[in-house]
Amino acid sequence: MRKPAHVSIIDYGASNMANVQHAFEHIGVTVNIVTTAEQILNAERLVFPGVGSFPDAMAQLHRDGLACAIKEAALNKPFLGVCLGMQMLLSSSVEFELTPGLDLIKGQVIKLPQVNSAGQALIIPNTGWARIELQRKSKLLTNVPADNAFYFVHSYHAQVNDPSHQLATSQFDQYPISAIIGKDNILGCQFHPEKSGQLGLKIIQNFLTI
Amino acid sequence: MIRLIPRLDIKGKHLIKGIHLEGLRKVGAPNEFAQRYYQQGAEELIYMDVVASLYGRNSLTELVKEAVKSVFIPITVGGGIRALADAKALLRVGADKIAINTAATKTPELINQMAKKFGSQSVVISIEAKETTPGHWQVYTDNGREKTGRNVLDWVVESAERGAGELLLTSIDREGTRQGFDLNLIKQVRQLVNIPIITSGGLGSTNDAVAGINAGANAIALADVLHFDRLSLGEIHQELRHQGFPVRPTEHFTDEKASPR
Repeated sequence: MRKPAHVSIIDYGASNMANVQHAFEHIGVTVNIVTTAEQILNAERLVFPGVGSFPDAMAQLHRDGLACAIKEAALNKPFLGVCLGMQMLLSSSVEFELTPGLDLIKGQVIKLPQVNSAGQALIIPNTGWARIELQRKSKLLTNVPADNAFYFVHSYHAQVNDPSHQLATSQFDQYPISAIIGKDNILGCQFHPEKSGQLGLKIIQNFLTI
Repeated sequence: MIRLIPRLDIKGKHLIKGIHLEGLRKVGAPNEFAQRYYQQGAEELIYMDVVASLYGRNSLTELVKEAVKSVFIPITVGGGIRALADAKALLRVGADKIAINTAATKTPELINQMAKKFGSQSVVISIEAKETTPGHWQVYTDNGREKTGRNVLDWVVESAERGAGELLLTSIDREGTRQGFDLNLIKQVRQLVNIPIITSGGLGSTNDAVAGINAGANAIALADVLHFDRLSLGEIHQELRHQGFPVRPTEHFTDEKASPR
């Protein structure tokens, strides 16, 4: 057995904070809830949850003085963004209005396509379980089989500039979208590992090996 | 992938089940059923406080707070949510989506406010539809007790325009009857909106699930067939898979043997 693991979850009011916490606690990890820049900079391993609107969440981070601390801390600590927490790692988002993100991974958050090439309207938000396909090797996906399913719920998606930052994709109708993005120690999941049953818990466990 | 969503109608501390949303019968402890359905491969759960509107508040906070410690699939909570603060409190303890019905029909602007504040993906509009004349459905609230005078087809369009992220479409006529979903209702709504539809009310067999999906639903809510062990999630998953629909691979469900019965 490894020594008991710790993670620090950044709490800036995101509504999935409690669920991310429960998932880590369920697999025996000690969770610290961090709310200040100083705590973020002192953390060993950071999780960045998020649900809701990009501009509101970014505004909250700036108001609480957390954006700079997150940018600095993410440079050298294992870091996992979840859903909106993943999207905020990018350079900007067009949700409601063009809003700068944390710019830790170059790219844009854009609207999901509304129709497919056959002209059929697509169901949005993209809500439900979908298979993800590994594009690059990642420790986050150790022991995750090819026949898998994770829970997604989103209307916008992350388009990374450098294809090597797209670690796993998922099909939205005929379009491949980013399911996991990553750059060195900085990782982000579009789906909700804390809401994806046993396989989701496996991803959460795998994050401890980063 | 098709979602199967056990729906837990709750009164006080009890899971209940009624027929036509009227006579109520106690079935058991909601969180025990939630854990069992999670282990058996449910894709999501719905917790509905069926008496909340009478008292003007949702009393599921404590139950949900406890459930999310060991159930790692999305949970929608509804019943008696009237204001942003009610929704926020439930999201904060671990609800993933909030279903609103009565409050939305009285103050439709609440849909816009919730979508702006929490994101459309958290906002589920729960609609109780009653067919008044063939092909015409009226919106009811309070478990089919109160008329709103709204037409269902107009209301789904308005809800989607205001930012709803999903519809929980319950046929009052079929609820508890096990005679199958109101397929015509699903088809009509599907033609009007591009947000996900959860169909609810009437599932009696695996074929009903297939028919609901073919009519245009994205997810299936089910209650008494599960609560009373008439059908299992596994049987429905299997039939959907057999019919060629994408479903979640079963080997990743929690060991069914571990499920408390």
